[in-house]
Amino acid sequence: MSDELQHYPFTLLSESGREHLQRCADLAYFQEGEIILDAGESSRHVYVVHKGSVAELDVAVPSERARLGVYTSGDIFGAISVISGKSRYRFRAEQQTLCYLIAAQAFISLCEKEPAFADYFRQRLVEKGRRLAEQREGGVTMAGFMLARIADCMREPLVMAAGSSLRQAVEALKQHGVDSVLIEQQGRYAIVTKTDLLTALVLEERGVDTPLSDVAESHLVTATPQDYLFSALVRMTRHKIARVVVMDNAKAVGVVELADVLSYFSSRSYVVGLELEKAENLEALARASARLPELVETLMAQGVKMRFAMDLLAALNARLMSKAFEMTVPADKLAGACLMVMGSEGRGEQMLKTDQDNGLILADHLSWPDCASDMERFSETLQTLGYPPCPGRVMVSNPDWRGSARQWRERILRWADVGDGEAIMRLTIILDAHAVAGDVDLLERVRDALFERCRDDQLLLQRFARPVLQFSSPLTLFGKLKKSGHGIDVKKGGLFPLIHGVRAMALEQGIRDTSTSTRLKKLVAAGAMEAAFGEDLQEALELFSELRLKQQLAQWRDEQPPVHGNQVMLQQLSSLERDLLRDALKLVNEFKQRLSRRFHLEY
Amino acid sequence: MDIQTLTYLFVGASFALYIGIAIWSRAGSTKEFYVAGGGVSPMANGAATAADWMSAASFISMAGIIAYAGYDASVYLMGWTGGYVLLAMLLAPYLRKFGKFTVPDFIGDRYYSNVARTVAVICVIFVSFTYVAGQMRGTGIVFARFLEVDVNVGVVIGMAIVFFYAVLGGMKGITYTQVAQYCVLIFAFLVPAVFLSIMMTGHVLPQTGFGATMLDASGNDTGVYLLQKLDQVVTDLGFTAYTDGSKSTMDVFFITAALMFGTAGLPHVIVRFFTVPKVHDARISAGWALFFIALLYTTAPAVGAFARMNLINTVNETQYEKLPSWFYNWENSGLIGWMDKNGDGKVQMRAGAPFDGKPDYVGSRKDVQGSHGERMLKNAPTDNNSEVYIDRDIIVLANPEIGNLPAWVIALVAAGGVAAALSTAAGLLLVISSAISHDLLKKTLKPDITEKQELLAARLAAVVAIIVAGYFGVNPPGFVAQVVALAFGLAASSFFPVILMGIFYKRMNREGAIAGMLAGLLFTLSYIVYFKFVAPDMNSAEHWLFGVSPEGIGTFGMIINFLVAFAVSRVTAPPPEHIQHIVEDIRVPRGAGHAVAH
Repeated sequence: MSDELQHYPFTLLSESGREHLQRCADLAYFQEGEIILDAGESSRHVYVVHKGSVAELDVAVPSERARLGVYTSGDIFGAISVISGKSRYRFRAEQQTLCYLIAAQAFISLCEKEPAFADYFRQRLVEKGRRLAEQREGGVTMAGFMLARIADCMREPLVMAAGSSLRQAVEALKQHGVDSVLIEQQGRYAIVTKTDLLTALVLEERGVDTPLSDVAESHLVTATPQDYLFSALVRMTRHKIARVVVMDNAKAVGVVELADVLSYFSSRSYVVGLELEKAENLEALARASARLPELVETLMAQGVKMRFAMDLLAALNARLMSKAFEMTVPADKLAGACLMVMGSEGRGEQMLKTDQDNGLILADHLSWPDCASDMERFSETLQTLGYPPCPGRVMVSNPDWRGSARQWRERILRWADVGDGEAIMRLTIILDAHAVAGDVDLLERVRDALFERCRDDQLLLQRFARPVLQFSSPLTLFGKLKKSGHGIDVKKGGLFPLIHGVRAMALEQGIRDTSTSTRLKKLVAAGAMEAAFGEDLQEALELFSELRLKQQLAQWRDEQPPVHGNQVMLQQLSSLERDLLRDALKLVNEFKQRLSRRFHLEY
Repeated sequence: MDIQTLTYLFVGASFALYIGIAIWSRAGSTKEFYVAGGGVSPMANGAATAADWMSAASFISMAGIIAYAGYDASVYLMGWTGGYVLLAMLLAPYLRKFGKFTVPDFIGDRYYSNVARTVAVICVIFVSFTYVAGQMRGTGIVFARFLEVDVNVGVVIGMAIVFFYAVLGGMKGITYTQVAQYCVLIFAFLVPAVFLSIMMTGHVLPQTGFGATMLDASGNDTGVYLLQKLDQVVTDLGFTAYTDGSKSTMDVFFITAALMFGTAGLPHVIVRFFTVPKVHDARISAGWALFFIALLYTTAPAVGAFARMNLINTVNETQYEKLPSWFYNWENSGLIGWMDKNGDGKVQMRAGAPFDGKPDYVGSRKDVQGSHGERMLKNAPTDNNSEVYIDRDIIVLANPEIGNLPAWVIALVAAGGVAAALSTAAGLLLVISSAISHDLLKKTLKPDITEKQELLAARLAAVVAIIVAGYFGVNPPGFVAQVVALAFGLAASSFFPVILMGIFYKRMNREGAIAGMLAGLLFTLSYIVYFKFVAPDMNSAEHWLFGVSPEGIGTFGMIINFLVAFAVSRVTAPPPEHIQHIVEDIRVPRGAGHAVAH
C-alpha cells in the first residue's frame, strides 16, 4: 500500500509508523453489493480503499436518503468504528473493490504512539458537529419547511411612488393580486396594507386622492433573503403582523406574507401557534399550551437547529404569557405596566415549559390598588396553563418581584451594593429579563440602571462571574468523560458555566440582548472574544441544550418526574455524541480559564 | 519513625488536605448555583487573609532575625503588623468602593493616565518579585533540610511545587484551602513554642514565658529572667545586649514607617478584602485576620529568644564530635559552616562573621573532611575568634531539634513552613502574572491583544516570575535582604502617597501624581543605590542623611512625594469634574445616598 501511504493522513505518521503499516496491512477483495461492515457490527479492521468504491449507508432512514457518503481510492473508513467499538452505519461495496485492511489492534496502538495521526481522527468539534447538523438539514429540506430560506418563499414587492393616490394603490393591488404595497421615499421604505387602506377609506373616510404616504407605516419589520423562513415566522409572531419586508442591501427585494408561509408549511407545528393566536378565552389558551411539548418534539424530530426551534418556542411562550396577561389585567393598566419573563425564558432558551419566572414593572405614576390580587390571579392562571409556580418565588405574585420603575432601580442598586450570593442571583435574573406584554420601555429603563451601576465595577463583576467556577467539569484529569452511574450533569458541568460566563461578559460589555447566542455574536463583534472561539462556544451551547432537551423530552413522554432532567446518561449516547460532548466540555473548561483571568477569579 | 519519614508524612498529608478541600469544594453536585462568596464566614475569611499575609518570611525568617538581631529586629514586627492595619483601615475600604480590582487599575483610572498606571505596575511587579524570591528561599531551606539535599536543589523543588499549586492547580481561589493552610502553619509555629516555653520557663503561653523567669534542668525556678540571662550570655560572648538596639531611634522609626507604608500596598492581600461581598463582613474578617496574624507575630519574639538561648547553650564551647545530629544535617544542606580557627576542636560562638560571605565548601562531606569530620571551607577566615556560621533562616526550623523536642514536632514545623511559603507565593505569582498580562499588556502596551494571547502571556509571566524568583532564591548573597529593603522603600515612596491622596484629596491631579511618584522614586532609588552599591563602605550612620539608613529612606522619599505632588497639583489644572465626583463619592458609605425602599 505504498501509494496510499504517501497521502494525507498517513503523512502524519513517522517513517517507522508507515513501515509498520506497510508490513501489517492485508489486501481483501469485495464483490459488488457485498456488505463490508454492517451497522451495529464491531469492526476488526480499518479499511483503506485501493480500487473501487464503497457506500456508507444509514440503515435507520428510508433508502432514498440513506446514502451518506462514498469512499473511493485512498479513502479510509471504519476508523471511527474501531475507536468507538461499533459501526454506526453500513458500508457496502458499490462495485468490485479492493481494500487494505489494518487490524484494529495495530491501528489503536499506532494512534497511541503517534498523537498527530490520532488527532486527525479526533477532528475538531465544530467540524464534526457541522457534519452532523448538515446531515440533518439535508433530511429536513425534503420535509419541506424548516430550512427553507426566505428567498424561496417571497413575492416580488409592489413598489409605488409616495405621491400615488389611494385609488391607484387599490387598483394596483387588485391587478397584481397582492395584499400590500411598498412606497419608496429617498431610499426609505414604508408599507401600506389592505387593512390600512380599508381603515383610511372606510373608517376615516379619507378621499380616494389622498397620497399613500399619509397612511403608510414607516416602521418596517424586515428580514434578508438568506434568513430562514422560520425566523420570518418568529418575527411575525413576535410583532403580531402578517408580513415582513425582505431587504437586501437597503433595497426592498420582496415581501413574505403569512399566508404564503402557511401554505409552505404542511407540518402541524404551526397549528399550535395559530390556535394560540385565535384563543379568546383561557380554556382555549390552555388547550394550545398543552400542545407545546408536542411541537417541540416535532421540531426536534425534523432536525431543526436548536437555535431556531428555541426562537420559535420563546416567541410562542411570550405570546401565550402576553395573552394570558391581557386577559387577566384591567385594560386601562396595560399601558403602564410591563410584564417580563426572566431566567431561561428571558433568554429565549427554554424549550419545555418549566416554572414561572416573571416580574412586573409599573410606571411610577400608575395607581393600581388591586395589583396584588390581580397578579395573584395571573400566577394562578399560568399554573392552569401548565407553568408550575417558581420554587424560588420569582414571580409576579411575590411583592419582591413587582414594583414601580423607581423601586426596581433602587432594588438593583441595593443588590449591587450587597453583592452576596442571593443578590448576585437576583441581578442575574433581571439581566436576563425580557418584556412580553405592556410597555417594553419600562424594562429598558430599569436595565439602563443595571448596566450603568455594574459595568465598571470590577469587584462586582468579579463576584458576578464567580459562580462559573462553582462546579468542576465532569472530565477526568486526562480529559476523558467521567464515568458516573448517575450520568453527567450537563447543566452544572457545561450549560451553566457557559451561559453565566457569557452573561457576565455581556454585562461588562454593556450588551443588552438576552439570548446567549446573540450575546456571543455581539461579544465577538465588540472584540471581546475571538470569532472562532465564539463559534465553538455556540456549537457547544447547542450540543448541551440538545442533549438536555432529548433527556427532558424522554421524561415528558414517559411522564417521569423531572428529577434528573439535567443528567445525560453516557450509555445512551452514540460514540460521536460522546466525542462531541467531551470536546464541548473541554471548551467550557478553556472558557472558564479565560473568565478566571478576565474577572480575576483566581484570587 | 525517623524524622525524615515523619516529614514526608506530614508534608504529604497537609498537601492531601489542601487538594482534598479543593476537590470537595468544587465537586458537590447538590450545591446551589449562586452561593459563592456568600457562604464563607468572616472568621474563615480572616484566617485565609492571615495565610496570604504570613509568608515564609514571617514563618521562617522573622524569628531567626529576632534571635540574632534582638531588639533591632523589632522593626519588622512593628512595620509589618502596622502595614496590615494601615491597609485594612485606610486603603482597602475605599479601594473597594472605587470598584477597581488592582492597585494599578485604581491609579490608572483615578489619575486618568496610562503613565501613572505603568509606574504603579512596575512597583507592584517589583515588590511582588522580591517577596516571591523570599518565599522561594524559604521553601528551598525546608526541602533542603528534610529531603537531605542541597539548598539549591531544595529551591528548585519548591519552584516546581509552587508553580504546580498556583498556576496549574487553580486552588488559590478556594477560601477553605487557605484556612487549612493557616491552621497548619499556626499550629506548626505554636506547638514548638509552647513546648519550649514550658520547658524553659514553666509558662504555657510563649508570650508570657518570654518575660518570665527561667527554670533549671530539674524544674526549679532560678529567679533569673530569661531576657536578663540572655543579655548576660550574649554580652559575655561579645555581642550587643539582646534587648539593646544598635540603631538610632530616628532610624528605627523611619525603617518601621517604610515597611509599614510599603507593605500597605501589597496587592495580594488587598484582593482578599475584595472577595468578601459585604462591607460589614469585610471589616469583621479584617479584625479576625489581625487576631490570627498577631497570634504568630507575638510568639515570634519568644521563639527567637528561646532559640538563641538554646543554641548558645548547645553549641558554644562544645567539642565538634559531640554536637547533636541536627548540626551535621544543616551543615550538609550548606546552611551551617564551622572553621576551627584556634584548633581546639570546639565550636566558639562570638560576635562578628567567622569568614567572608556564605559557606563555600570543598566538595561534599563524603569526599573531603576536616580533622574532626567537618566539611571543609574555601572561604577566607576573618581575624576575630568567631568560628561558626549559622544561617538565620534555619532558626525556626531547627528550633525543635535544638530544644530536643519529639520528632513529630519537627515534621510538623516542616509542613508549616511549606504552607506559609505556598499560600503567599501562589498569591504573589498570580498578582505578577496578572499585572503583566492584564495591567501592562492589555491595558497599556498592546490593547488589541486577544484573550487567548492574554492567557498565554499570563502563563508565561508566571513561569518567568518563578524562574527569576528561583534564581534569587539560589543566589541570595545578601541580595534579597537588600532588594527587599529597596522594594519596600520604593513602594512606600512611590505609590503609597498617590493612593492615599487619590482617596482623600480630590484636587490631586495627574500631573501632581506623576511628579510626586517620580520624585519619591528617584530620591529613594539614588539614595539606596549610592549606599548599597556605589559606595558600600560609606554605608554607616555618620554618612547617612539625618542618620536614616537606606532601609528607612523610603519614608523620607514618601514625604518628598507628598510635598512635590501637592505643590505640582496646586499649580496645574484640577482633575476633570467626573473624577472629583468619584473621589467625593468613595468616602460616602454606599447606601447612604439613597433611601432603601422595599
